[in-house]
Amino acid sequence: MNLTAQQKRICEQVINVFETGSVQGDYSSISIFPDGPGRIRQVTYGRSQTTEYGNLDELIQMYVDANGTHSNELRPYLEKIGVTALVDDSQFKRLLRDAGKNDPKMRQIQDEFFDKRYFQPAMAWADQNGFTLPLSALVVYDSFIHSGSVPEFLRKRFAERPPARGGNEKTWVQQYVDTRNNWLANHSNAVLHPTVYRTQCFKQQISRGNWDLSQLPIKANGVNVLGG
Amino acid sequence: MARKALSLLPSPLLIFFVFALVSACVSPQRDPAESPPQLVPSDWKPSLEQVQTSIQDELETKAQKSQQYLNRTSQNLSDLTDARLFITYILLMQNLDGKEQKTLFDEQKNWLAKRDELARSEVVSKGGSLAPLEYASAFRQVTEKRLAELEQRLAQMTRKNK
Repeated sequence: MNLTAQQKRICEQVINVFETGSVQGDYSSISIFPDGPGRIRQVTYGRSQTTEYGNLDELIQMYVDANGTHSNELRPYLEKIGVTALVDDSQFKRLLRDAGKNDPKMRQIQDEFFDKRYFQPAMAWADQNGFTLPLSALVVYDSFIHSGSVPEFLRKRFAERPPARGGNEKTWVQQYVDTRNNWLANHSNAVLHPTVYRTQCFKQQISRGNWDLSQLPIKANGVNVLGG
Repeated sequence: MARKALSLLPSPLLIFFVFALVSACVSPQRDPAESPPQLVPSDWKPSLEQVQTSIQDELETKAQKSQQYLNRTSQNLSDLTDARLFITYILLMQNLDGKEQKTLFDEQKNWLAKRDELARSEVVSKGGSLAPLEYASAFRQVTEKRLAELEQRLAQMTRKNK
């Protein structure tokens, strides 16, 4: 998948809006969810959210190695992350918040980290399946961020095959977006319904033929994305 | 000699007193006929319903909802429902005798394990930002059912005790 720097930036900005409500994303965001091992509460942190018992240790190791403003204070936590619960450690959470809010180094490290963790695997999947268009990249990236993959149960609900297996790229993307939109809009848990702002944004781009993401702004959940 | 040895033994009255004291210490179970101990003063009725309704209203009317907002709000609502269930469980517990308390405790323990299983089975977006929302909303639905069930039992118990 060969994206220009501008096309990649647009993909990131659209996802930032979907996830956090702002084009820049929220690098200091901390949420607590009971989704750790054995459903224990855990810290979820950063622009695209990584978890205490997932890959937070890797992110903090990268930040400590980069000598950020709060690297020395966060260093002692490296051996604890993912081992000892830090969900109620207010000092740890304050350091994460401060670093995300005030230290450009933390923002740079998060960009690198989330690129490696989410964007690159999504693009590898897109390459393997023969996708080449920037809008396809955005749709696949969004699916990896939102659902962790392009879910198999959704792929079984439409006929078109991916380009690598002889299908038409635009038709596949259109059918996948429609299928995903129907799944979210009609989910038995009504609280999932509002998340169709994602698929509706893609449907708008498909209908205006914005396959190369050159028509700006892109309206994402009410926010204009300009790629600047 | 035998008389001296007998004189060293405690008096029957003292033996009875010590026995009664030890029995009271090692056997804390109440007489089943006794009324259950009051854990919560009867006029203390904490309410979370208004704050829950307020969050729910905001969730329904807010124009722009990011995924992080939806996830956090949904988790807040789940936590509130769970706290309401906890309050109802305690209030019900204090209306039961020892044997019934044990039964309710076991029942609740089993239900808690099943709730987690049920909520987890609703998560299809493993590794994605939608997963916490899928889990929290399923968790809340299951908890609301159990809350209604325990509230009904508490109301029946309160009527019976009146």
